[in-house]
Amino acid sequence: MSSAKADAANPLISRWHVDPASTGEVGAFRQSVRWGAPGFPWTYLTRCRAGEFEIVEKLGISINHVLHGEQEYEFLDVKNAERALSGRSDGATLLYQTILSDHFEKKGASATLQFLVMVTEVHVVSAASEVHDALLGPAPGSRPFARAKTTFVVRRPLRPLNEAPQGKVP
Amino acid sequence: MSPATRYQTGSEIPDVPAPPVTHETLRAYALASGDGNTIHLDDSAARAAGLPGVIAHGMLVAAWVSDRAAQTAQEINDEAVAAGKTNYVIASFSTRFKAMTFPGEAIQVGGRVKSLNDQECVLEISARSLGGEVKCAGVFRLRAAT
Repeated sequence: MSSAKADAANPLISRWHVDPASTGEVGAFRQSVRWGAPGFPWTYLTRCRAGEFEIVEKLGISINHVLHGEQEYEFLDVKNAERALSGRSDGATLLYQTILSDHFEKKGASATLQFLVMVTEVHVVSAASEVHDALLGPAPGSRPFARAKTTFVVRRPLRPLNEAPQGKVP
Repeated sequence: MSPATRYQTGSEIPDVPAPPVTHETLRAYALASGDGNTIHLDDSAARAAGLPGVIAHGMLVAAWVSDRAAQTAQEINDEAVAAGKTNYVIASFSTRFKAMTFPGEAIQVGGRVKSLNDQECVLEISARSLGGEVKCAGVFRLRAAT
């Protein structure tokens, strides 16, 4: 098996994943964090992390050995975000895919730390028919309403990242 | 005559206590968020991963910081609308995780208005232990609704 570097020319991309932002799911999330402000819970998109975990696994790293360093969310279309994440309707379906956008090392005081940066784009689809049979992606022309950028710190890497096995890119 | 406004650039966002951090809180969040990583649920799994015991999900603490930001934004919007100005909507935010949070720790959440003008509003809000250790530092960018 050949080893390959995950870089711009050969990126690691997750499958498409779905998440139901139903009234019940949003309500349970809101309650679990005791969200008190009006409007949608701003961190709800943390549910859309299956792609991140998929890539961590592809890199051969145990999820228990990564720490969440930083999380950013950008709402590209806030009206759509409100519509999708308010949980008011019977439920929007979120469709998302993650890419490993960067990885680098930093020398700390006692050890060299590895960082993984992942970007997830989230689309909303209102009807199940818009989700392709095999979750091939959103309908053509659909634009993401939000983008998540996650920085992980690897606490106990198994091996240098550039020796990690390359997962199959769908 | 415009009413006195509470919020302007530099205004303090007073500390409020976060919900208590308990194993039960973490289990409920794991279910609702879909993050079933056992370092948040099982002390022995956490110890096997080199931690002293279970730690709170970073994104749970980030949710408390975000809720404080969203409640502050609502108050700022109420003032803006009363003054005949447009309200603000969330454009983006980032939360940095600085220290782990353990069950039983008391957390407070507050910060300040970094900037507030006709185009945008930036809030800096963090979650800290009572001893002042920063757990999670958030920066929230809101823009005037169009």
